[in-house]
Amino acid sequence: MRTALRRSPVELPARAAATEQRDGWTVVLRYEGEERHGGPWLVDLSHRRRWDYQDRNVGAHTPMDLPVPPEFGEVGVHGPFVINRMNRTQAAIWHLGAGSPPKSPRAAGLTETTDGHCMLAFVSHGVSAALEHLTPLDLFDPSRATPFLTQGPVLRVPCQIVTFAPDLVVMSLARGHGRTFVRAALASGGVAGLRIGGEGIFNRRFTKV
Amino acid sequence: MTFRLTCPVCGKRDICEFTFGGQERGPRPEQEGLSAEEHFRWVQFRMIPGGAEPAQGAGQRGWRQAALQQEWWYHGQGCGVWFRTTRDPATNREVEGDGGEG
Repeated sequence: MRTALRRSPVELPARAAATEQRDGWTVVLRYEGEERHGGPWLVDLSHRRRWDYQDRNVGAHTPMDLPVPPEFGEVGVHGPFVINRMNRTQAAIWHLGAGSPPKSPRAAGLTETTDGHCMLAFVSHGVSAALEHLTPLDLFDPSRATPFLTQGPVLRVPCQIVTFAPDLVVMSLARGHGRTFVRAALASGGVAGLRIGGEGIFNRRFTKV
Repeated sequence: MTFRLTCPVCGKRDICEFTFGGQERGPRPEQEGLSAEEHFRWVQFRMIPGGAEPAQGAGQRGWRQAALQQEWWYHGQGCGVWFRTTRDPATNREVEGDGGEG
């Protein structure tokens, strides 16, 4: 059986210490020297599967057996899946849990967007200080219950951002911005100690969500 | 100068996230019996509701728009929704309660 060879839109300036082949992607689990830093870390999650679900009344459906949150900006966490209510007609589904990715189901209104997007996670304490250098958006609004979705510009790039906790933020953006976005994020966020981390850092934190 | 607009999905956001979609022109006129002049006016002319009046008060110069206007805006840097809002172009203040999703 042939497997499509996939490549992340992001090039991280660090040497991988442990990698894994997964569904055609080369996933970096750990980078050399990452344990020497306490974070915050920038983790490339572009290999994680994502779907867009559209319907004229998206709130009345359960794509992939996941209930769509009733209010705009709400996020539901159901095991390894996260579902974000974007607006009246759109919801996004992300597979963020550990383990092998699920097959893409054939269902009306559901489009897989994995290859069209870049996905990044900001993990560990100090994330808020790093993100303050990247966006004017308030991603840690204490009046909103976590997890919640914000749609807006980070480094002037339109992003879908989910705040899971003060030390865990995941964002999705168009693939074409990936390389320059990461370069700018590391340059600006480096002031607050932002470093590159492997997928293992994200997995260990996400299991506590 | 900057100000904020209220997106019906995302809430109040900085104006730099939005793209102006033009003044609300009302429904397209009936094609039956429509003259070229009337069609041209509907496509090209933008009305200033209430006309314009000189600026009032000490130290103010020029002209001030006298009334509110309905406008279309696009939240391109955010949720990608078109919506309508009513705004005073002289003060950039929105009228509460408007803002239907397009």
